[in-house]
Amino acid sequence: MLKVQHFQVFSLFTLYLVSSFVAFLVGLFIDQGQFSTPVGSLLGGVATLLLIYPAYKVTLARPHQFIAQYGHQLVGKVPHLIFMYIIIIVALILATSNLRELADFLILVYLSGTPEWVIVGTFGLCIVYAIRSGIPTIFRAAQGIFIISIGAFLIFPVLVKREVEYNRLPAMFTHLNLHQVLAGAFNMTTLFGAFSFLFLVIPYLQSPEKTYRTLLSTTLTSLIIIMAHLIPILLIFGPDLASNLTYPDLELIRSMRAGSFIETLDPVLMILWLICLYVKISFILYIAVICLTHITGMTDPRPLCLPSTAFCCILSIYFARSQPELNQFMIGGLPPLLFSVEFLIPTVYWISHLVRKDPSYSKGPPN
Amino acid sequence: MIMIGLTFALIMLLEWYIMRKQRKEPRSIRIVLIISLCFLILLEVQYVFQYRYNIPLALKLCSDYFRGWIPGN
Repeated sequence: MLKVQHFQVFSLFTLYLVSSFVAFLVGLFIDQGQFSTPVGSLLGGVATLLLIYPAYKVTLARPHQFIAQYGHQLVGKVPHLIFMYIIIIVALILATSNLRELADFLILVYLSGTPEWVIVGTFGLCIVYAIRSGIPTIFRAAQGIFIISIGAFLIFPVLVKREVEYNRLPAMFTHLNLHQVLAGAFNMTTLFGAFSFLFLVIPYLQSPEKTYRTLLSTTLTSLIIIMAHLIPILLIFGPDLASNLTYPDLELIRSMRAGSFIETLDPVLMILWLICLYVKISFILYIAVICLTHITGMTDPRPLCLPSTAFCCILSIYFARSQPELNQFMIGGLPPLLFSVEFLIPTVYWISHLVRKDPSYSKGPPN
Repeated sequence: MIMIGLTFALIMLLEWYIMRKQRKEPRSIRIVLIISLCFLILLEVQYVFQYRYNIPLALKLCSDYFRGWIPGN
C-alpha cells in the first residue's frame, strides 16, 4: 500500500483550512465574532489540538486497521453502525455544501449565465478521477500545489498593506467580548476539527505515531495564514462591512492599487481557491466512500466513487434555495453537526476503548 | 427529475458493466447498485421537496425541536 507522508498531510490540511476560511467563511465568522474574531480563531485552533486527542489515541491503538472495521468491537455493532452512518452523511453534506459554495462563487463572479449543472458536473468529473485514484493521489495533488498556493496566500496581504487603516488596530484589544470570542472559537474548532477525518484513514499514514506533531505544525501555519488575511480584512473594511460582503477576500484583492500590472489579481485568486477546494472536496468525499466501503464489507472503494460524487454534485444544485439560506446553514446548522462528528463520536470510541482495554489490542498488522 | 434518473441509470449501468468485466463477486455488485438506488431515491425526494424542505431547513427544524426540550426556552 502506498503510504502518505507527513509533508503531504501538512500540505493537504493547510490548504483545506486556509482555503475554506479565506474563500467562504471569513465574512460569516466576522459576523459572529466582530473584532474578537482573531482572538477567537487563535483560541479555537489551539482548542482543536486538545479536542482531537481522543480520535488520535483510539486510532493509534490499532494503526494498521481502519476504525470503521474494528469500531464495533469497542462500542457494539449497532452504535458503531449509527456512528458510521452519521459520519458518512455529514461528510456528504460537507462536500455538497462546499461544492454549492464553489458553484455559487463561479456563477456570481466569473461564469455568469453558465448553467450550474455544467460547473458542478465538470468539477465532479475531476473529483471522481481523484478519488478513484485513491487517497495517496489526493495527498500528492495537495503536495504538488502547496508551495505556489501558500506563496500566493501569503503575498496577497503584503500587497494590500497600503490600504490598511492602522487606527483600527487597538479595537482588536479594546473591543474584546467573551461571547464573541467563544462564538469565534467554536466556529474555528469545527473547521480545524477536520483533522479527525484523518484518523479514519490512519493505515495509509507513514508513521501514525508522529501525526500529532504534523497536526501541530499544520495548525500553527494555518493560523498564521488565516491571521494574515483576517486582520487586513478587519482593518480595511471593519467588521460591519466585512460581514456583509459575500467574498471579503476577493474585495480585499480588488481594493489593491499596487500598479497596472498586478491590479487585477482576482483570476489568480480564483485559480487558487479552485485547486484548494478541489483537494478539500476530494478528501471529504473519499472519507465518505471509504467508510461506506468498510461498513458494507466491500474490499474495493472504487465502484462507489462515481455514485457518491454524482449524488453530491446533483444534491448541491438543490441543496439550498438561496445564498443567505446556505450562509445560515454554514454558520448555524453545520458547526454543531461537525462538532459531534469530529469530537463527540471519537470521544465515545475512546472512552469505550479505555473501559474495554485488553491485551488483544496489539499494534501489529491485521490477521 | 428525468435527468437525475437518467444520470443514475447510466452510472449504475456503467458500474455494473465495469464490475462484471473485472469479475467482481455478485454481492459487491448488488451493494453498489443498492447504494446507487438509495442515492437516486434521496435525490428524487429532495428534488420534489426542494422549495418546501431541504437539508438546511430540516436541520433548522430539528435544532428548534431539540431546543424546545431545554428548560427555559
